[in-house]
Amino acid sequence: MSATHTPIGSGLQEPPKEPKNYLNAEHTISSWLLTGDHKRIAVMYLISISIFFFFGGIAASLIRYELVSPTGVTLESDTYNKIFTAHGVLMIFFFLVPAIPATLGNFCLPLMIGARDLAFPRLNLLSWYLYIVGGTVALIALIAGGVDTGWTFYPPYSSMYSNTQVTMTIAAAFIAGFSSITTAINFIVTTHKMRAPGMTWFRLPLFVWSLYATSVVIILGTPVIAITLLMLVFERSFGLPIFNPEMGGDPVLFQHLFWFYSHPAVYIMILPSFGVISELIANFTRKRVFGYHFVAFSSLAIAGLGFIVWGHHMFVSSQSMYQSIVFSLISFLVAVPSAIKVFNWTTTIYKGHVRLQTPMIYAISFLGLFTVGGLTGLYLASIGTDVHLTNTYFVVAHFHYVMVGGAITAFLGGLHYWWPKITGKMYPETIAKVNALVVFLGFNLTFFPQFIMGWMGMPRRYHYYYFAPEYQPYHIMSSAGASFLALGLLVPAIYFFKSLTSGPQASANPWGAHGLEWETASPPPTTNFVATPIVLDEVYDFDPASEYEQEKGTAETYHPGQDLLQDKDGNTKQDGTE
Amino acid sequence: MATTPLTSGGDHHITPVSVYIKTILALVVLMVLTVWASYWEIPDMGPIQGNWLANILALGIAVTKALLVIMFFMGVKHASSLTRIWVAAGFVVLGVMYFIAADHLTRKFEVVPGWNEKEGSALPRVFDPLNAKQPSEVDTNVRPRQ
Amino acid sequence: MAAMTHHGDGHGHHNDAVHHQYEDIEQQNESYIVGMWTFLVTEVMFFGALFFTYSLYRFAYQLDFWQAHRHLNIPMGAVNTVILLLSSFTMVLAVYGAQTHNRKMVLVNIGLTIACAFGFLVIKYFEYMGKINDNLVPGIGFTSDPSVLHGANLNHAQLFYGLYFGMTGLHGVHVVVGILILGALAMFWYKRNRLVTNDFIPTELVGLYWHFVDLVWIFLFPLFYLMPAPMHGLSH
Repeated sequence: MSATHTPIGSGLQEPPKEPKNYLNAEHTISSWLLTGDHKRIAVMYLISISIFFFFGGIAASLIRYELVSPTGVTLESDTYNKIFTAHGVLMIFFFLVPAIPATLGNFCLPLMIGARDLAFPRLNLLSWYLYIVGGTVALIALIAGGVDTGWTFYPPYSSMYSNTQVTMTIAAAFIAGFSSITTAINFIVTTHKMRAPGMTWFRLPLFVWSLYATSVVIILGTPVIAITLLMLVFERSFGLPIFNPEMGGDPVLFQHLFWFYSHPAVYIMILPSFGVISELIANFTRKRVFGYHFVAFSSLAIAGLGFIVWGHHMFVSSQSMYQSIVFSLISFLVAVPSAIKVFNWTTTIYKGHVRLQTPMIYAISFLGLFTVGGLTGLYLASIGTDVHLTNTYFVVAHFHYVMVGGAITAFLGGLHYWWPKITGKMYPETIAKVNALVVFLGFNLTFFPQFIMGWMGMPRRYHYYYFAPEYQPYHIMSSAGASFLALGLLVPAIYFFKSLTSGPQASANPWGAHGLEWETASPPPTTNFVATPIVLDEVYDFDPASEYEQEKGTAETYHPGQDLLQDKDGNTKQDGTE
Repeated sequence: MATTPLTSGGDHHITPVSVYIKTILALVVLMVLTVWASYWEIPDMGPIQGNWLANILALGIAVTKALLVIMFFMGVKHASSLTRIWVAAGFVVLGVMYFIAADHLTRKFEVVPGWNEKEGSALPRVFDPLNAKQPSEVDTNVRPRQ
Repeated sequence: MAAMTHHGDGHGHHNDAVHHQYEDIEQQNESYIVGMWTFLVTEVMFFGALFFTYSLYRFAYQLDFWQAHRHLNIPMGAVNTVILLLSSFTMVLAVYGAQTHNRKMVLVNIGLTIACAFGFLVIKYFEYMGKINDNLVPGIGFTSDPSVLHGANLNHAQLFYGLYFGMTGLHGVHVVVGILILGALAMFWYKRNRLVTNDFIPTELVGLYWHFVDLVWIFLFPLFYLMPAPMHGLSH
């Protein structure tokens, strides 16, 4: 495949026709379904995860609707169990794990390091197909009756008693696991071997660092859950007595192995968000991220620590109290690298030229929400408090503050930020800003009351609470907030979709951002760059002079159809003239 | 026989066949040794029981064999440092996983007597196989699976 | 910001063995090797969880596991170990043949490797059939015959055989996959497909996978077949 050379000298004004980019290079359906282009695969992933997010969201809405009344509204107890399991399985295995790496990461990683594609394009395509197969199996299991074990599949309930589609749902999670393994192998090899000349490790954008750390966690953790779930299926189907207490098996062993993956898995979900936030904060405060090296290495530290804290999910599981104490202590350590990140982001904002555009609003709300989510994690890491709070809405609220307030906020922020690069169109800024506020407020209204009622003792996974009607006001608040949150998540879908046809054309670098992905056209050509870039400057190296031009709006911007490149002084160079 | 390497440029190490022959001979010798050693009756050495020593011996031979395969057959001896780090990382994290056993090994030191005394409790709460009485078929909780 | 190279032909190389995303064969080969090792790390963790489960239960039920293991056939396991070790040896010879451009050596040695793999599976089949005939498959039909269990507790013997079938079975699945990959590789070499003859890396990658399969068995064999008696005075 050769580079797309557009005719030279077409000038700045009025390109004769739309230039070739990865979206319009080919139009057949097979050119999408058989593509090796990481950008197209990212778009296909974006569409697929949105669908699964929608299904998971429907389940969430049903849960919130059901909980408005202490005696339930519409659902049978059985159905309620299946609904909250569906919510967990779909959201975790089919949205949160692949959300940022497989969409934004897939799209940006080669662009950010100046590569033409990921190292293994066909493996990348395989990853998407595995995801689709896994997702389809999960949906079939849902239609065939659903699962009622909760997304954790604890035996012996799941292996001996549950009379639902446990095997099929586990198969779905198993397949989805291989999807993320293939993505992770691709990212690791690409980061090591595909960097452009001059792109040293400490010139890598922090998003790449966090994707790398995420991939390491996926590589080392996901196989464990795969084999654990396989053992569970074998126990359920063929009676291999591995976790069966009647036969001398240890159900707590399942919890150990499960959380050996699933605690690192929450870092799989949140680490890419850290990377996105680093990008947003640097580019919308026009400053190099304060303590770049610390932020980069804290990602790896979180990845490493993530593997030695799994036991804090099991304080009430009859594991040895001595192990609980050790796990509690190590869990507190995770706060250190997380705090390094938050402090460094905050310091970056300090005295920066903050531009309150939509992505930055999401980034700032991330800072607040993640801090609340992270600090409440410390409550749960201390054994005494945790014994009181286990299985209450406090845990639910903590988890959602980190996952929705953290991961989804960062995902939305990153999607707004890279939307012009992905599609070449701008979204409507005003409505997006208002929507970002709706998300923030709706989110807090949904989950803050859950902290309070959880602290008071409302257990999770109950849909009747007539024994304690004093929780009803909190549930109503929470459900009302959920409606706002749902609105805030639906509106972007509408205006993003609309911007595809009616949005204004985006320039190559609408934000004046720094990074290799902004130096190619929007949307990029199939080969990403006209020629292999050579990186000469440091990461987030914002130049005060061009800053002034950006502020005044006098900077020369890159127009579609123009294969010109700006160097640091704003001079344009033409391809092939030298 | 052509002996020029196929790679265009680069200096990939080609291990001579003699190294492979030595490796396989060592592997087969170790293999015979480990089968033979499994028939030895190793006496106790102070506080360490003989069967522990036998286990350590068997696993030591297995680890040696594995290292031979990794180093020579899989070429890690001449591989890039990145490859070596990956190989090490896999086994280190596998070692971390073995800390799960810290749970089962420290339960017996808990100050509160657990439910291990309870008749028919599933896994012995006290994980002390050397001193625990071996369960017989009569007193374990056998319920026919339906 | 970053400069772009202007020697017009950045990736218009003429070596059709290099995929479009790579600059040269060197980068491609290194990427393949790193990618394969990354995959093998996932395999280490995949089997690792099983090995941990096995270690835990063996430690908990030493006597029962030892008694149950006495029904395993050590000669069969030992022969299988030697077969797998030899197949690893023929595999490295195949890689050596690829490195030195010796097509005949590659084909002969891949053939020998596949033959060893089949030999392994045949012996495994007879072993499994023996166990199945003795009703040692965990579940409702599990045997209670004391001459088969050698005094092991019924439940813990099921645990042992569950792990035995699970772990050797998963290893067997890897052997079968290995045979398929080796067969495809041999086919490519036979047809002089440039995909494999251009460079020795594809052969090397298959070799790495095959050695990993060998590696797993190196640990499975002493763990399942060669248990020392947990206390003195027990006959072997």
